[in-house]
Amino acid sequence: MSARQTLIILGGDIAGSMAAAYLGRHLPASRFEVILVDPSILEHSSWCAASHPNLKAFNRALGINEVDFITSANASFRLGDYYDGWGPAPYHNVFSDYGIAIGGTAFHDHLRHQAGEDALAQYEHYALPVRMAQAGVFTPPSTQNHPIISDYDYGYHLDPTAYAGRLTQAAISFDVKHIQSTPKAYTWSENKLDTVMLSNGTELCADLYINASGHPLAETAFNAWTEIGCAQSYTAYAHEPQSKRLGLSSHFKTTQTGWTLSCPNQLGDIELAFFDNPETGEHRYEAGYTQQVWQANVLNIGFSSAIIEPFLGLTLRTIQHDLERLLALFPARLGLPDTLNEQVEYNRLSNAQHEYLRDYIAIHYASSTKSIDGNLLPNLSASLPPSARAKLDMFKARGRINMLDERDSLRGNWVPMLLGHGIRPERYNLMAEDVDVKEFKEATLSLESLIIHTIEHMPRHEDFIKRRCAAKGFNYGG
Amino acid sequence: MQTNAITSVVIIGGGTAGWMSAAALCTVLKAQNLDITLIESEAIGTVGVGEATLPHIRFFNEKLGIDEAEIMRRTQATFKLGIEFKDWGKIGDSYIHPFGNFGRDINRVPFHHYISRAAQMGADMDTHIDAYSLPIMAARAGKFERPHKDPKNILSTFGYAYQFDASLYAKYLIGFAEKRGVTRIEGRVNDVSLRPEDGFINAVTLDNGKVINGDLFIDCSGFRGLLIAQALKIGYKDWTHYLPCNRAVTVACDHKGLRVPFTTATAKTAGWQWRIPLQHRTGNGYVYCSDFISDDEAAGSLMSGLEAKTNTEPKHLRFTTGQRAKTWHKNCVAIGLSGGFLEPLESTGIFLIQEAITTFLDMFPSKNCPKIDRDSYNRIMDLSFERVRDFLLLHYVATSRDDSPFWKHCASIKLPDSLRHKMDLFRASGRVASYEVGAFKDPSWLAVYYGQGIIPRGYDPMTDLMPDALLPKQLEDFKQTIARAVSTMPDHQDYLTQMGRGA
Repeated sequence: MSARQTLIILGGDIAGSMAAAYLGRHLPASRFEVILVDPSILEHSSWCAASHPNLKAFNRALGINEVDFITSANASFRLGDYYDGWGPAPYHNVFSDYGIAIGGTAFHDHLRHQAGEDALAQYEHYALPVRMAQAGVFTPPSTQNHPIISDYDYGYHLDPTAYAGRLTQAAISFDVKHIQSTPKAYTWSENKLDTVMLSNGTELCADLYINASGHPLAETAFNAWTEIGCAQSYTAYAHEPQSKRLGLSSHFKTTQTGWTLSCPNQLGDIELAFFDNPETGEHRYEAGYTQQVWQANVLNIGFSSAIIEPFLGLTLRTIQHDLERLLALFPARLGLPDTLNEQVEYNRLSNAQHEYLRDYIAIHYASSTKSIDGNLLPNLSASLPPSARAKLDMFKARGRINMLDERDSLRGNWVPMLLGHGIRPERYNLMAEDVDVKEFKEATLSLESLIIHTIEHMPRHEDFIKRRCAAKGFNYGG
Repeated sequence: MQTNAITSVVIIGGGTAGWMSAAALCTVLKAQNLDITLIESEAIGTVGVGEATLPHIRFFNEKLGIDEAEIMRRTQATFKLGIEFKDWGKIGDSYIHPFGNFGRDINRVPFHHYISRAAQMGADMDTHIDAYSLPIMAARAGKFERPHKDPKNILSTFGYAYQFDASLYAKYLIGFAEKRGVTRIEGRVNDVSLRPEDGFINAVTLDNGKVINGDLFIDCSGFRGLLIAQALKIGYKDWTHYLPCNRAVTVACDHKGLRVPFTTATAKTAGWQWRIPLQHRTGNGYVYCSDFISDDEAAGSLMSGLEAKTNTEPKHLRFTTGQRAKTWHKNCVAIGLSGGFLEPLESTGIFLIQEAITTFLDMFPSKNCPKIDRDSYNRIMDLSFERVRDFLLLHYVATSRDDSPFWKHCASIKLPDSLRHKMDLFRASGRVASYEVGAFKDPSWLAVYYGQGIIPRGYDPMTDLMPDALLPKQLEDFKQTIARAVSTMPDHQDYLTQMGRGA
C-alpha cells in the first residue's frame, strides 16, 4: 500500500467546514490525511442562512441527526421563499409541486385550460406548503407515501457560524487535523501550489488543496454575470426576532436601492440588504463563476468558485453539490497526470451547473416587475444569456420549461417564479384538453379539502420546535 | 379550444412508424377531435424484419390502454431481458447487456468499483460482472417472470421488453386506430403541393387522382422521405464515418430449441448478425458494410449459419446511417426511417419512433407550427439520436478485434469528443460521465465496457472503507442472493405458454 496523500482545506467560508466534515467522513484514512486550516472568520456566511432541502441528506451522510443539527445550528424550518415586490402580487416559491399533474400534464396547463389565463394568478393557492407558510404551521411530510402530504420538502433557516462550528466538531471526530491559523504566503511552481505558509509559522504541503477561503488564490478566469441584474454590494445584520410568529419562508423584499433578504432562525433574524450600487453596502461583490474550478492541485469551492445570490438557498446548496460531485469523482490517487480525466469531468459538470443557475437567476431578474408601494422600479437586467433567452421565450410561448442535460434541476421552481412575475404563456399543452371539467373539478376540490384538513391539524411552527427541538435561547417560546 | 388549432393530420406511410403515430394521436389527443388519415400502399413493402424493443414500449402500450397478454399473443412476442453480444471484445467473448443494474451500492459506492478492487487484489473471486446481475443470470438460465411489485425484493430490480413481429404490431394498431376514427386510405402519393406563401404542405395527391388536404403531415414513408426529403428538400446528416455498416440481409427460419428471453448480436467479419427469437420462428439478419463484403457473400454467410431450415429467400436492404437534418420542418414531422436510421444493434428503432411521437404530442402545436416549437423539438431529437449513435459506436471501438479489414477500419474511426471523453474517464477511473438525455444510462455503459474488456485502471477509493477481508464474502453473498432468486423463477418457455392460456 502506497503512502497516504494529503488534502489541505484552506478555510474561510462555510465551505471549509463543510468540506472538512464531508471529506473527513468519507475518505479512507488509510489513503488520505485531511487537514483543515481554519482562520476562524467566516466570510459571506450570512448568504448561507437559508438552506435548500438537500441539506438533510448532507447531515445524514455525516451521521448528524436532525435534532442535533437543529439545536446546534439554531435552525428553524423553511418551506421556500416569499417574494415581495417582484411581481404584480407577492408570491411563494416552495419545495413541492403545485396542484396536481392530472394525466401527467403540468397543473398550470390544466388551470389555464379549465379556468382561463386569469386563474394562473391563483396558482400558488394549490400548494400545501404555501398554505402552511401562510398559516404559520409546520409538520414534516408524511413518510407513508401519500399523495400531496408526502410530496413536499423543507429546508432550514440556520445560524451559519453555529453550523460551521458543529461541522468542524464533526470533522475533528473524523480525525481531520484542525489547525487554527491563517495562510500568510503561498509558493507556486507555475500553476501548481507547492506550499502554504501559515501565520503560526508552520509550512504545509499537500497533494490537493481545497480552497474554501472565499476568494481565488491566483489569477483565474472569472465569468462575471452582473449584467443579468444582480446586486453589487451588501450589508448583513443580525436582529432580535422582528415578528411574534416564526416565519417559514425566506422573505425577499424589493427596495429602492436593491432588495433585502430576511431569514428567521430560532434565535433571531439574519438580514441581508443587497444594493445595486457597488459603493452602498459594506461588502462589494461580483456575481459569477470561476471557469476552471479545479486547476492543477487546487480545487476551489464555495465563494472562491462562484458567487451565487441566495435565491432558493442556492448559495449553500451549491457548496453541497460541489462536495458531492467531488466525492463521486474522487480519484484513487491524487496528482496529475492521473487525475486529469476526473478534473476535466468535474469542471465540465461545475460549469454546466453554474451556467444553469446563472440562467435561473437571469430569468428571475429579467421577468420580474419590481415595484414598491405600487411604483415600478427600473429593471436592471441588461442582458440575458442565449440559453436563458431560449428558456424564457419557450415559457412565454407555451408555458413549457425546456430541460435537456440539466441535473438537480430546480424542476418545480421555474413555473411558480415565472407565473409569480406575471408571465402568462400564449398557449398551453393541448394534452390538458383531454381532462374534462368534471375530472378537473373533482381533483381540485379534493386537493383543497385535503389541504384544509391537513393544515387544521398542524401545530404552529414555533410550537412544533418548542416541543421537539428547541435550541438554547430559542426566542419564540413565549 | 384554442383558435388556430390543428384539425386534420395526414400520415404518409404505414408500418410501425405510421400506425404508432396514428394510434397515439387518436388516443392521447382525443379531445382535439382530429381528422386523422393514414395513406399507405400495399405495393410498397414495409421494412418488417422481426424486432427487439426497449422497456419504453410497455409504457407506450399502457398509455394506449393495450393489454400486454393480448398484444404479445397477436405479435408472436417473447420476453426480452437484454441482448447477448458475442465476439465483440474479442472472438470467443460473450456478455449480456441487461435491463437492470449490476449489484447494488455498498457504502454509497457503485458495485462495479468493488469488482475492480477485487480484480486488483488478485483475489480468488468471481470478478465477472455478469454474476451480479439478476436479469443476466435469469437470461442465461432461460428464466423469466415479470418483475416483483415490491421494490425491496431483488426480483423487482430489472426491466423487460419484447421481441416481436413488428409488422404484426403495426397490423394490431391498424385495428386499434381505425376503431377510434382513423381513416385508412390505400394508395401511393404521387405529388405533394406546397402553399406558395409559406412553403407549408397543403395537400398530397394519390395515384388515383384523389387529393388529401391537411393541416399537419407526418412523414412515415421510410427511407425515401417523400415529404421531408423529396418535397421539402431537407438534407441528411450522414454518419457513415462513425458507423460504416450500410446493408442488411435478413431471413426468418424455424425455431430450434427453447425460446430464450434475449436477443443475440454476434460480431462477424464485416459487421454483425442478429438472432431474434419470436414465438413462431426466429428472425435473423446480417448487418454489414458493403466496402468489406459483397451482398452475395453476406447472404451466404447468413444462410449458412442458421439454426434451422428456412423456406424463404433472404431479403436485401440498403441504408445510410444518419439523421434527417431537421425532423420537423414547416408543418411536416418525419417519424421512423424518414427521420433517420441507426442500425438495430441495441434495439433502438422503435424506441426512436416512440421518442419522436411522445415528444411531439407533448408539444402539439397550433396550425402555424411556430418556429420555437420546431426548434425545441429538433434539439431534443438531435440529442436523442446522437446519444444512441455514440453508444452504438462504443461497441465498435471498445474492442481488440483487428482480424479483418472491417475491424481495422473501426479502430481508425475518429470519435466524437464527448465519447472520447467518456471513454478516457472510464478507463482511468471507472467513473461513468453521465448525461441526462439519452436512452442508455450508466448501467448500460458499464455492461458494454466490462463486457468488451474495458476494465478501469482505477476505482473509487471509498471502496477501502470496506476491509479487505470482508470483500470476498460481500461479493459471494450477493452472487448467491441472485442465484437463489433466479432459481425461483419459472422457465421463459413455460411462462409464455401459461400466459398464452390466459393464466
